[in-house]
Parts: sequence; C-alpha cells; structure tokens
Amino acid sequence: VDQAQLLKGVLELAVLAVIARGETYGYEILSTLEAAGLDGVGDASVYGTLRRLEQAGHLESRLVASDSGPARKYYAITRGGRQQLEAGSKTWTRIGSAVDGLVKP
Amino acid sequence: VTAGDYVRRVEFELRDLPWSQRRALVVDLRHHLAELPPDTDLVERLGPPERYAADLRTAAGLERRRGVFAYLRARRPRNLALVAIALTALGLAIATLAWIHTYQPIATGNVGYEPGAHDSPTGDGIYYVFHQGRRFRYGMTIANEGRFTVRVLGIPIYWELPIRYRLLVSGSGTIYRGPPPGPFRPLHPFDLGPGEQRMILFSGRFSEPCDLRQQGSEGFDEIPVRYRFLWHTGTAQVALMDPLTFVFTKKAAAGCPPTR
Repeated sequence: VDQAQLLKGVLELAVLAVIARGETYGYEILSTLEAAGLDGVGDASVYGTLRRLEQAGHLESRLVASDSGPARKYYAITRGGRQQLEAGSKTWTRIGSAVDGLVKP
Repeated sequence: VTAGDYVRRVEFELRDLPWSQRRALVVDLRHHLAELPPDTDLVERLGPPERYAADLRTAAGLERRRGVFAYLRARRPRNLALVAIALTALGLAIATLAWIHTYQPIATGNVGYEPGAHDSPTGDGIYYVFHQGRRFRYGMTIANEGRFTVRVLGIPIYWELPIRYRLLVSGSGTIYRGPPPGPFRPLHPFDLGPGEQRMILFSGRFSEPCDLRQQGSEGFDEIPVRYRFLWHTGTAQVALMDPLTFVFTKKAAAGCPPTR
C-alpha cells in the first residue's frame, strides 16, 4: 500500500494536531511530522493543506520577523480548527480500530 | 536550480489561478524555501517544480481554471487596469481622429444676393438670362454652425460657367439682413468662427457661353467650400440659397461653333 496515498487522507488531521500543540511555522510542522514517522508526505502537500485549512478558517496566521532571515509565517489553530480536530480524531479512532480489527490476525 | 528559478517555475504551473491567490501561494513558497537549510538541493528535497505545483494544487483543493474569465482573473489587476486605460485612450484617440476627419460645420447662410435674377416659374430657384458682356453678380452667405473655428481655404468651382468672375468675400457677421454686407475683398483663406457668416460673391460679366456646349439652360444647386480644421482639409458641398440656372437664348448661342 502506497504510504503517501494513505497519508493524504489523514494529513489534515495530523497538521491540525501539530498546530494544536502551539503556534508554529511551516518548516517546524514538517519536521514534527517527519519526527513522528510521517516522512512520506511531501512539502507541497503540507503547505497546500495549511493553505486549505487557513482558507476554511481552521487556522490563522501571522508573520513574525526573524533574526536569521526573512519573516516566518506562524500558524495557530482557531476554535473551528479545534472542533474539526476533535471530530477528526473520533473518526480516526473509529476507522483505526476498524482497520486494526481487519488487518491483525 | 536557484530558489528564484524554482519559485518562477512553480508560479508558471499555477498561472491559471487568480492573481491574488497565486501571489499568496508564491509568498508561502518563498517563506518555505527561506526556512530550508541554505545548501538544500531544492529538486531533491521538494521534487521538480511541476510536481510541487501539482501536489500543492491537490492539497489546497485548487482546481485548474479555464476560459476567458479565468484568464482575466489570472492577470495582475494593475496590469489589467493599465491595459484598460491604454485601450480606452486608444479608443478615444481613434474616436477623436474620426471626429476631426468628419467635422464639417459649414452650411448655407441666411442671405442670398441675386441682382438681375428672375424667380423660376416653377418656384424652385432663380435664373439668369444670359446677356453677353452684361454685369453678373451673385452672392450667398455661408455660416459656421459648429462649435469650433474652421479656416475657409477657397471655393474650388469646376463648373463651366458662362461668366468671367472674381470671387469676393464680405466682412464677418452673424445674421445679415437687407443689402449685401460690405466691404468685399478678394477671397483669400480666412477663419470662420462659430456662429459667424460671410458672403461669398461672384462678381463679373457674362461671357462666351460656348464652353457649355449646349443651348437651353444650365443649373447649379451647390458650391464646394474648401476648408481646414486642425490638420484635416476637406471640401463641404454647400447648398445654394436658391438653385441657380443660366438660360441661354438662341441669340446667345448663335456665335458658337456647332457641337459634334
């Protein structure tokens, strides 16, 4: 099974979960996902997901000046984003249990 | 591939998106590239720009757009405004040129001067009976009915008139009444302002009708007036106050050689 295809379905949930821990920026989100073992997801997919979540009102962003280079765009989760995260988590738990029951002997 | 090249190629792949949306994506991409370690191989890390654009499009839920409306929205608003301004200016310039080239304000005035003429029995003009050597005078006013001054250059008549004449022009006026306005002077180019009238006077003598090569009568109902407005020169056909006819008796044509 193609890991990238599997990840696409849960990327939105994973990104929301990372940002729910605290305000963060794109590269840090990518690094957190990779550190968590989701290293098959492409940068463009993460940035595209961030854009879609922001457009949907689940995230808000602000530019913060950086000493080491250009300004960074920080993302924070909104109330709507938390609701989306909670709903997505429940769905994921249910699906995960169901798939576990199927694939485990 | 430099960061600038990479951004340009991604932006090119997203060229169908509305300009503001594409602009926001490009800004995000620049932020992203700036966050990467300086020696990062962009193609190795991010994949080819074409694939990056495709993945970005898919993840952000951005469908490919087609059609004229999408094409216009994909253009930078400032550029669209500049094109609109340029097209408007061009249209105005063309309209102005067309207007200048069709501007013709010269019309028949309100006075005719026709000493010795007879009213036509049919009531549709006047006629002069040809008398060799007799004095001939005929005048009519022309008026500028427009809003701008034009320069009258001359009266380029090509009629074969049975008269030898000089063209004279009166002083300036608005509405003439009574006798012809004088003094007259030889016609040279003159300015005719808005609402202004001047009388054009044919002054001479009847002479040699044979050039007309016919007996009976010869009629005219308009005169050409050559004029200039700005850089455009044109000829206005101005209707005579009364259609003008020359009547030739048998005696008048008696000395003419026979027509072939």
